Amino acid sequence: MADLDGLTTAIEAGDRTAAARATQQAIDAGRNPQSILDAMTAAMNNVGGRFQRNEIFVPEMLIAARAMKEATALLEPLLVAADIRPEATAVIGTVKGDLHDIGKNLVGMMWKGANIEVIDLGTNVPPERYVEAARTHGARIIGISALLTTTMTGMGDVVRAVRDAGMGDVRIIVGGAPVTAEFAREIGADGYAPDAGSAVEVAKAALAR
Amino acid sequence: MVDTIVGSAAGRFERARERVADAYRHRPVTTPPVVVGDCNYWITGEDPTRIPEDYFEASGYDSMRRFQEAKIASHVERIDDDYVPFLFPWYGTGVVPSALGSRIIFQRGEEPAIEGPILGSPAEVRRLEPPDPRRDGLMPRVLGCIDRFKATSGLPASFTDCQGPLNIALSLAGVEQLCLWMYDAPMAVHELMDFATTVLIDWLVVQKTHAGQPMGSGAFPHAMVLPDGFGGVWISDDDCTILSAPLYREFVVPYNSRVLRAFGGGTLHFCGNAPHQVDNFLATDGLVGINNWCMGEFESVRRMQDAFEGRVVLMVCDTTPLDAERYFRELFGFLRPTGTIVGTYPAPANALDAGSHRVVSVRQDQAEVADRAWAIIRRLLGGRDG
Repeated sequence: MADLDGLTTAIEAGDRTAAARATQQAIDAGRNPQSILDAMTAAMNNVGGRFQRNEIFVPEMLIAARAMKEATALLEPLLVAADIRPEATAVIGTVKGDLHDIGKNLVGMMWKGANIEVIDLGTNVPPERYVEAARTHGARIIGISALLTTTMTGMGDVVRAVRDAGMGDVRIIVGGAPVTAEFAREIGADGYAPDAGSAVEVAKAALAR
Repeated sequence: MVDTIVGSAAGRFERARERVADAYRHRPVTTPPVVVGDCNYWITGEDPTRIPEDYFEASGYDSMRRFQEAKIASHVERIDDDYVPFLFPWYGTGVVPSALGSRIIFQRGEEPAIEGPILGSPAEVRRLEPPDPRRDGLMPRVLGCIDRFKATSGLPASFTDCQGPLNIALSLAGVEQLCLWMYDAPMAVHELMDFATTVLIDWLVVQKTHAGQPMGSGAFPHAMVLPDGFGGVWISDDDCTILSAPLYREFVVPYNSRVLRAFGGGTLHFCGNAPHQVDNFLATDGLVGINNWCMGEFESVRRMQDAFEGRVVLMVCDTTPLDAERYFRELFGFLRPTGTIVGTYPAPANALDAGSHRVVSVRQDQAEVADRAWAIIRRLLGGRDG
């Protein structure tokens, strides 16, 4: 019997080899693709929680995300065949003028781990690119990261651009070292993620509204 | 003019040095040394209109000196704290990576920043070559600046912020890659850390020689003059916060120890909170001080204070908070004065929101904020030793 608990454990531990093996065994055993995916997302949910509690740190999050990514690649054809789609599509980027990417990358990994499709625009992204990408990909979430007090003001520009484009139903989530919940409210963002570990919870809460 | 102002305060600087030295000796005192760091050489949080256009240019050595001297003169005239003046050649935190091939981006109103990693695989670590500080990256600019400071000012000149082996390695490999290599290719990480350590030590020796500093003294982390007898170097390890204790122990402690030993000991700076690294700090050979910008997270400070008592000086620093009265009342409510130093850093465009532990944008008069913070600190401390 394919061990889905073992799959969850392997991803959490960042063991890419064991995760791939457990995934293939589950596929070969004819397990429902959704249940396999659920085991994977459960792992990343645990990773996010442990990161928030400072039980694990950035390297452990990265190896877990990599194990998830490689395991998901094996599962993807079955997901497509079963018409199991990502829960949502998110566009993510670092704000214009800012070159930092590690925070954005970690959030992107956590969102992928929660079965949210992520379109990563990179760093130094002007407002119009967020709008264009969200429109092109049918994104329901836009994630914006900033690491500097001098660049975070650009997040307000993105919010305005998105709303001016008539995309009021797109949820905008902001985060980064200088960003606070109060700032997020001031600029009209829909959510604030204080760290990568909380990013999934914040995204799901924003989508549920 | 600054030479006159500083010269007239020579006695006070000697008392400041003694107070800081007493902290390093863990001599019992009733009040800690305090530095109000409004003589910042960095431009983060600075009023953009005050930053000289050529601040980071090779042609801008005098602009850099005048920018810093003006702040020093104003500070010395207004605030009788434990700041001891010096000049700081500042070209961002990527000077060593720049000399190893990293591209540095200069953006108006921002510190110089590294564009991205230059190593694509663990195997590429072996192609790194030690830099020539007279030719490579921003190193010649730093040396030129130190030379110019020495030729045109009576103030001592520091070596530049070299970060530390970990930050250098992260800059070269990228955060994600280096973190993954710690699991996938640990030997390559050790090779890279070893290389970064050797380059860093050699670079510090060259700078300190230019600056006329003895190897075992003359370090000025964030406006605090480290006393003679407690080492000649300070390093930055902000990324200690993102690594687990076991990884930091394996990949960082041996190399930080080597740097500190090379200069008779030293002090380590980091921003943020890393209570999980306390044992690693204590295991770092040659570590005599921790300079921590704690973001108003005092639980972490309490833990370090308890662990470091009698062994490692704890410098508790932050961007000056919005509610300075509340912040310092809480801090002095538990901070033991022996073996500690307090630093507050007012900025025109930044302030600490201690409640959210984040630095936020503001617009304020730096001197007013500095004066107010100093008045609050003096009142709460009820006077000063020495």
